Amino acid sequence: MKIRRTLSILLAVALLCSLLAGCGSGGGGEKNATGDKPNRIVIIGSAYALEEEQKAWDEVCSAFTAETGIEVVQNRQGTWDDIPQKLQASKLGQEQIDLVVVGMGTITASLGPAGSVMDLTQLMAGLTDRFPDGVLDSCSIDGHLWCFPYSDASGTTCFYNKTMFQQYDLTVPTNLQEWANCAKVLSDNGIIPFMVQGKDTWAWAMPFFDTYGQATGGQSVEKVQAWLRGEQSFADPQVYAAFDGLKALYDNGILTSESFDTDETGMLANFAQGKCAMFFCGTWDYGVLKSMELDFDYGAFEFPVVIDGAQMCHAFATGDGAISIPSWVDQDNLDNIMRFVEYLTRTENAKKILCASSGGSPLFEIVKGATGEVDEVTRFLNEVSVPHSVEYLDWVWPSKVNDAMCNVIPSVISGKMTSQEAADYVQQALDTMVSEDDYVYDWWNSWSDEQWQAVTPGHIPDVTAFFAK
Amino acid sequence: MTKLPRISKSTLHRRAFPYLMCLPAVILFTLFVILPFVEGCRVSFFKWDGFSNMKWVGLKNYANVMHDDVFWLAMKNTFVYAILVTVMKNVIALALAYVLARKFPLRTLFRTGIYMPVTLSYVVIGALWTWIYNPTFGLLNALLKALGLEHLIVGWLSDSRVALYSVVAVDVWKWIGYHMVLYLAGLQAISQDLYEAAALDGANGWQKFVNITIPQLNSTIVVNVLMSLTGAFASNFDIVNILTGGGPMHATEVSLTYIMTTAFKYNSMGKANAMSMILFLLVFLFGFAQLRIMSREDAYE
Repeated sequence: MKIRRTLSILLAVALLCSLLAGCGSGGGGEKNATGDKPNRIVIIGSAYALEEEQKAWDEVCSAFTAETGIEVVQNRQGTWDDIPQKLQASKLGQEQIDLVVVGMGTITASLGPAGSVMDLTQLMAGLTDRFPDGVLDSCSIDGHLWCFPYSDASGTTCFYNKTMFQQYDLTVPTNLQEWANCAKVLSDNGIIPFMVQGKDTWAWAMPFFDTYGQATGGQSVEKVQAWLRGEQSFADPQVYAAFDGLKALYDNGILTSESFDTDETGMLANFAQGKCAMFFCGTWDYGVLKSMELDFDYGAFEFPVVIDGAQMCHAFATGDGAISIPSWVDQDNLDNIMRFVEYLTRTENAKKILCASSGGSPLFEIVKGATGEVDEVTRFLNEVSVPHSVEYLDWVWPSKVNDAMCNVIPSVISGKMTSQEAADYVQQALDTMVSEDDYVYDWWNSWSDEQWQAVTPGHIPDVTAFFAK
Repeated sequence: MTKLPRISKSTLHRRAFPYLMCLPAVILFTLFVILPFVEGCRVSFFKWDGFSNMKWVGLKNYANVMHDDVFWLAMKNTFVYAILVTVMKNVIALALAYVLARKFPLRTLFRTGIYMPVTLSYVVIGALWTWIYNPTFGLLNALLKALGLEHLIVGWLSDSRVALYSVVAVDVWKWIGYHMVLYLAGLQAISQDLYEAAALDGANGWQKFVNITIPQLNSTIVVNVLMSLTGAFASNFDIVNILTGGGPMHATEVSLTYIMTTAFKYNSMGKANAMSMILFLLVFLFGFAQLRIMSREDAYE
């Protein structure tokens, strides 16, 4: 009995110890047997879209480790909108995170105002000439660089089934009427004319970027900035026109109800199997499209003009899959971090990763020399689409406003809400942020010295010392 | 002066032993339940984005929650979800247990098949049902078309009138096997003598079910209902997040998804914690009332 009791106690203690063993301070601070901090960099981000992308990252990281002895741990899981939550949890759990792959949009909407990413202006000063002119502009706010782009630039575009268009003697539409005519022919033949990945709620804002760009004559960013500063209301005729432009797609049979229940994978599957003739997407889907074995030709086209008298306008920006440094990073590890950043931005390494993540070749040159094969779609995007583009609006307005937009757009399209009600709903979202969270658009103008100090690196490593000999 | 009776060492050990055995569980419960709850309660009185310093705001977070229409819509959805899921899980599970308690060919296969979804993770189930509900490739629409019921096809996850019920259906499908097993065990524990005696008294099937089966299963029913309710309140995040993300237009928004969004997307940890405290209070009251109403100490023998 005594032995059994003793064994029970020992078992209970062992169980308790094993369960509590995981409750440490995280991987960041532990030292090895000699008392030195381990030579390690941890980079987090969303899951790789392509297998080749993961291979490329693994190769570059392994080569960096072989060259420098610094281990690189990649933690790539979940989706891009999980990143703020991961960062918060990591900070609370004191886990080591040195680099984060995050979109500039997320930085503008939440991470930047929260002071959770570091000001990279001085850190990257020695590496800015590795980027073509203008590329770092999307990653800067008021002269402060918050990240550097490390994935293909992206924009909104449409793809169509060329073979099907030839079969039904159709031409690429450039306006609402032509689009409606195309849609009727396709629908009569049992084909879904056009799809949007409507089940992914975040995606609904994208076609609005195009229609609002049309409605404002390419001044959508300026209009939204003025609205966020409180200089005007969101409920104005141009916003109504943008909403109505989207509703017109549904009313004219171009966009059908299938889109509301179809996510990105489903949309691509519909296109690949010839069930839908056209779809709207971000240019990041071109890499996935290229990797598919399709038995038809396809091409890209601009989102047609759906507002009378307007010109085509699309969304485009660099910095979608940018890399940033959390502001609470271990300052002692900054040298290792910048050494890795220098390594990543070398042409040969950037080319390896950027080409792999783009399904073969990037559409746009993000790091000098990191280019690939130029095909018809690449040429179209660079020469035709980008010149008609403005920055993504969800990189300008906050997350709560973006969620409000993404909620009202399908409601407007399906007729459950009027354009006026939708605009009022979005205005209310901003008003609530102002009253509850003291939201200020130009947060960088209201920061104290203490807040700036929290995001300023403690020292600036000399990145030129890391250049390849 | 009266001397205190000496307690022998063995008596002390005997008395302390049960407490020592409970100690690891109590420590873990305190660390991972009590302390986070207390901390959450504390944070609910601060304005905090999860990164910068906390700022004391008193009851402002609670006031903001009271004025937040989306939160109260999410609470309403949560209660509707909880009640529907509880009723459907228990009714269907009891019916299945009643049928599968009898012997017939392939009974084990059916039991296994019904239980299998319990073993699948929410991620797998979410991915599976996203495709079942898919308007172009989905099995559900294909089945309705095959049966000539195309007029019943709706946007299962995009139509705000049906989206919540579509999510409820998935949750019920996942868990009925689990509750069925509990009801099976309960049914098998009921003495056959009671049914024989009732038969002698001329009771029909329904009368036996109402007057013998249900009262004898009372404790099993209480456990199943309590587990369904608490599961519906506390574990609906995954299924809703994967299937709809709370949309369309908050039609499937439940309190947990909105709390998570408020905390980690809108960086409003204080308000999210205030919502959590209110949710805890409501669920506590609901669960307490359910236990008081449904628990009986009568003996039915």
